[in-house]
Amino acid sequence: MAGTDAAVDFDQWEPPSWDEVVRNHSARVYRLAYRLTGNQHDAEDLTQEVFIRVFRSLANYTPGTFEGWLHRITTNLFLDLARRRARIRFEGLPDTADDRLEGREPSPAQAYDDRHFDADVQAALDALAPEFRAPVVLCDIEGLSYEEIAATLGVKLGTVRSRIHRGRAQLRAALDHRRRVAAEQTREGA
Amino acid sequence: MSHLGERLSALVDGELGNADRERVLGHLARCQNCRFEADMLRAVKRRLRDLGPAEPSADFLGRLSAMTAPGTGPIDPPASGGFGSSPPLGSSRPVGSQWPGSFGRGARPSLAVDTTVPAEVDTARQRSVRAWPRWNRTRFAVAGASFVAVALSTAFMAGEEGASAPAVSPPLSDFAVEHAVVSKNASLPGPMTVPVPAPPAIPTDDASGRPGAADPR
Repeated sequence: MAGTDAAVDFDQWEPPSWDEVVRNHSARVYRLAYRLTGNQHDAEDLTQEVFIRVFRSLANYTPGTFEGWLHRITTNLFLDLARRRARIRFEGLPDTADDRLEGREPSPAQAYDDRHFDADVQAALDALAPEFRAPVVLCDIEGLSYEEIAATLGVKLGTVRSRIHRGRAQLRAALDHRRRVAAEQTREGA
Repeated sequence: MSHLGERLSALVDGELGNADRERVLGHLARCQNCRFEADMLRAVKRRLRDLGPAEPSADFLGRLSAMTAPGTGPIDPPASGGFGSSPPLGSSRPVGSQWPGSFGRGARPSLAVDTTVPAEVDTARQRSVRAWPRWNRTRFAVAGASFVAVALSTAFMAGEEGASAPAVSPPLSDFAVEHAVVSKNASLPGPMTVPVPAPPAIPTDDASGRPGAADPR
């Protein structure tokens, strides 16, 4: 039973059991959560919040909407979370902020280690504002159409298009920057 | 820069209408600059698409499944040691990986792009501000989940009792009467629901009330 089968068979439809829901959808939700948040900890947090909501409203679930519904919950919870954090940052950082900020600009050693392919891309994604990150992830990683993304985020199609474009332009700049930094470090190291 | 702006991304995503698409392709044929831009956008898209799968840990999946049992799962945040203590798969950001003890209280200021370092603040107040909304939400969620579970199980029990009592009792009393007749002995030390009509000759008492049924005249 792959996750992709879950949405197909509606003929003798029954509400899915909790076990089935977790089995069929957790990996997908987690992947989206991971790409949106950029780390395991937040991804698990977000995934758990999504499933708490799913758990509460499983009884009201009607067939055919699950995938889109999960996308919507996950993305919007992420955006809520990001907004809340942005507000908190505006008010000020907690006392451990220094530790956290240290990692923002990678040290040379870190940058060297991080020159892993996925890590570069994820870091560039993390640097995007959440409003740009969400549509780009939904488009390029989840493979949704602009229309689906507009429905997921509750924004206009034109907004989706412009955010994806700007998001991708920023991604590209970030990736270029990381590549240049890495190249310089290799030169210095050699 | 590109002459085409957003339409270039839309082209790369296959989201242009036919007419637009023709126009854009026509322009690309003439404009090397825009061709280069389009290639760059495609490359970015490809790199995103080719990101390896991010797999949830078995431990985490176990906790999700355990949410079926009311009161487990979401109620107790897991011990902090297990989480985030190892660097996340594929993560390049040490920021997110080294925060013992913060599970479930989220609110790490690392999500957005802004990197300005703010002034000193009253940190204790800050922490409570940032800890509560999240935890409250979780508690509401937990309460909601438990409530649903409890409601479901009680509804089930209530439904069962309500349905079984009337459905079962008539056959039982019939049986009691029959048994009394067959065995020529009215005593039936049976289950609590069975009224034992001492003389089988008065069946009307059955319907009127159970305590009365056993009553000798």
